[in-house]
Amino acid sequence: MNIRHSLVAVSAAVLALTLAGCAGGAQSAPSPSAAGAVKKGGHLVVAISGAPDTLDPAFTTSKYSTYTMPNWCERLFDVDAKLNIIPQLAAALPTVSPDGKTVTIKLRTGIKFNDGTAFNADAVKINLDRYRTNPRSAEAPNLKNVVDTKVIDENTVQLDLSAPTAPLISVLANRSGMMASPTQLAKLGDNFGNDPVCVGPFSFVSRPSADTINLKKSQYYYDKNKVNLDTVTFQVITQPNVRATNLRSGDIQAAIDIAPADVTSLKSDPNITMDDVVSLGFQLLTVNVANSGGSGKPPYSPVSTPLANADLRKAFELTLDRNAINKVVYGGFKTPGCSPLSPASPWYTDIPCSKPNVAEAKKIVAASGVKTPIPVQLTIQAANDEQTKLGTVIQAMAKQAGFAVSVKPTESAAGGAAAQAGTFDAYMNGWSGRIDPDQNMSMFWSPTSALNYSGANYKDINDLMAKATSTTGDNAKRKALYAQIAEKMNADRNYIVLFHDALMMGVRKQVTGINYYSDAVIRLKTAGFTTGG
Amino acid sequence: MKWYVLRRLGISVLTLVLSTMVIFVAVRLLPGDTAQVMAGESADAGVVAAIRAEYGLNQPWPVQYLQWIGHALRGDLGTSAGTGLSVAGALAARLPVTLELAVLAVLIAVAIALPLGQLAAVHRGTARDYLPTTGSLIGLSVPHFWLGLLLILTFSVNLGWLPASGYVPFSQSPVGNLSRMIMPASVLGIGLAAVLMRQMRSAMLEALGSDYIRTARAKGLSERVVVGVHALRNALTTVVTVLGLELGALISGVVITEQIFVIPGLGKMTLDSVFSRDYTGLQGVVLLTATAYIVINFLVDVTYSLLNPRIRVGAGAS
Repeated sequence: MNIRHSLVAVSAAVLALTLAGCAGGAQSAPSPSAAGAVKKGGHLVVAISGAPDTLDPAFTTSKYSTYTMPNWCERLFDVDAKLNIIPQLAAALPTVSPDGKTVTIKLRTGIKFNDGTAFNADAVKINLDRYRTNPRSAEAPNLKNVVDTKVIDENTVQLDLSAPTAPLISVLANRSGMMASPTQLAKLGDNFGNDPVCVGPFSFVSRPSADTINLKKSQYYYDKNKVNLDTVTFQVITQPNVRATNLRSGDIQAAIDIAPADVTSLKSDPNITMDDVVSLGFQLLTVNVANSGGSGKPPYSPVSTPLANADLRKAFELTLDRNAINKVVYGGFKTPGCSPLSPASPWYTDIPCSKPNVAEAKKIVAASGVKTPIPVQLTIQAANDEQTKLGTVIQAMAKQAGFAVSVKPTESAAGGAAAQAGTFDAYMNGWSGRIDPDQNMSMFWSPTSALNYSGANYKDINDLMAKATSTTGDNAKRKALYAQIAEKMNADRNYIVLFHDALMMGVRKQVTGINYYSDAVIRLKTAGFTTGG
Repeated sequence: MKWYVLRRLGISVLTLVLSTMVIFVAVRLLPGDTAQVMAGESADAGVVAAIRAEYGLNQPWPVQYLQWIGHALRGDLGTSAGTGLSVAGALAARLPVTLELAVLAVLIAVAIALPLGQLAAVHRGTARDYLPTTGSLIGLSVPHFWLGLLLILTFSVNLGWLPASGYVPFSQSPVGNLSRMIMPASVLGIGLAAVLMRQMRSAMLEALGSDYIRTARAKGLSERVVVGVHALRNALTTVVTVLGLELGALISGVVITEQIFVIPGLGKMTLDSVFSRDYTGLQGVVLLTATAYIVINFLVDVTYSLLNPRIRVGAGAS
């Protein structure tokens, strides 16, 4: 490693830390804490609201995998409570060459996978190559700019890039950074997810059904003295009120995704602590502007629905009162906003949102010459009661300006299929959020993204996003670019962001040490039961 | 009797074959692409294509059907597109759970319905008739979801007597198993008892008004023998038929109950498979349920003919 590389790395790290420290709106919270010392041992049951798909980090696309897997599958990088990227299996933040096309990662030494296999640069290369080249890898698009991975020495890997890629480090702080045991990979291949072995405070024991994942304390973990629990079970309980009831009965000791309707009763329970942080994710109203032949397949051509008209989209948004929606539908637990970047993110910039103005909306509708009532079909995911309520509230708000919104309930797979095909007017969907701003914006606005249900394709935005992605080593400049992009996106209104989610976790008071940040990962490394519990 | 059984068996096999076709087509008619769901909404087309090829989803439907049936006949129901786990393994793990739940529910239902049905019929038009009849109406009307949560709130949260959820195998802990199964089995059993009780009451009333009962009474037989032996045996033929149909429905109807009580049974697997568009998982679980339904109906037919010989004579004459 030369001096220039070191300087770039250090300056990048300092900038990232400074940026995070200056981000006044950044939110993340430590876990609930309970009185009393933490005792060693015990079995913790954590309820999650949906089932992970496969437990192979290369193939999984489920957010529930992301939330749970780091407990038995640590990553090269992690985030701290303020979402600053920190080294985990890496020894330090990476060094980046001045041209941004070479990234060098030093690894921690003396680490073993949970089967005793040594963790080293060879293991990292095997994993990164698998993520890049396996035909089924869901991570390949995230690593598309990586053209080669090289083992420099036993504890150093080098990534050669086709272009400077600022989001790379955050990608390696997510699923692409999870390191699987080469021994287990050689043994199971594409079936690795049936018995995953990685580096982690806990090792995978069994998955007797899709709904249950059993873990036990790892004997190989490098930091095992900090691990308190003997065993952990992640239990899928999809119904929010059933999760809440089980938490109250004590059959489970922690539960995520507590519904707003249950928060009040749980807060009044003396045995339970409620913890909430603002999520990186957001809820958005996707408007079909030009997706007539399928998302991710440009060129797009405008559709013939009323909201394809930019003026009518503006009028529609002016009828929406985000604060009222938050109060009526979510009991005030969400964070209203119009940017894809969450206030919890170090990359957040407070950009102005359109204020509700029905009179102005009426004027725009009248000026458009379109006959009222203007029909708009809003597709929502009916499996979620709150979504149904949200659809009804939007229907009532938009009606004031002459929009006749019909709410079409569907479930996620059918809704997603319709959105991709472009057979919708407006679609209510959500995004669980990523650490890097690019992955919260380009997923929807990039013309070639399969999530670009709206058919957005604007040269100014595309150019700015490309510029921001290639801006390495200057986070302040990059942050300003994303603020600029967010404002342009708001002017186009292909995607109308409504609010940022609240991550609500309920924990029995005898449990402490769960670290639950805005990235929604449930970190159990230091979790344990208090001596009084 | 032998020909009657063989004919019923043939009909059952034919029904099963037709069921497999319906199952196969039905799961593919669901909106949404299983390969896309597996790959994730944001996946590249290449990844979706790779998944489609790996799971044979790019083959014509007849080819997929024959491959599925061929493998199924060898006991291989494929790999879950949702979790990557073996479908046969998942079914083997979940079937005993659901069967235990169903059997317990039936036991609870029978224990409630038969005595109350008899009681209501024998004391027709009195309070001892109105009370069970009203109770059965309530049992029919109460949604499983509501009743389940009510039981959890009462016995787990407020009284703390029973665990709210989960499953422990009987072999591992009989007490742990039964303490977790009693509430879900009661939820299912109460609904079933309501149906059976009404059937029992009607069948008993019909039997008690029959000529042979009058004859039995004229011969001086005690009321206990008349009701408990002669009327009950005849009434049971109707009840057994209904019970068989309800048992089949019970196995497929545990979806909600298993969701509420977090029981890793077939119902929960069905729901999860539908939402994740897991064709192989869904085909496996529906095939198993259909087979169970057909086998139970076959057994009911045979039992029915044993209880009422006129059935097989009539069937043979037709």
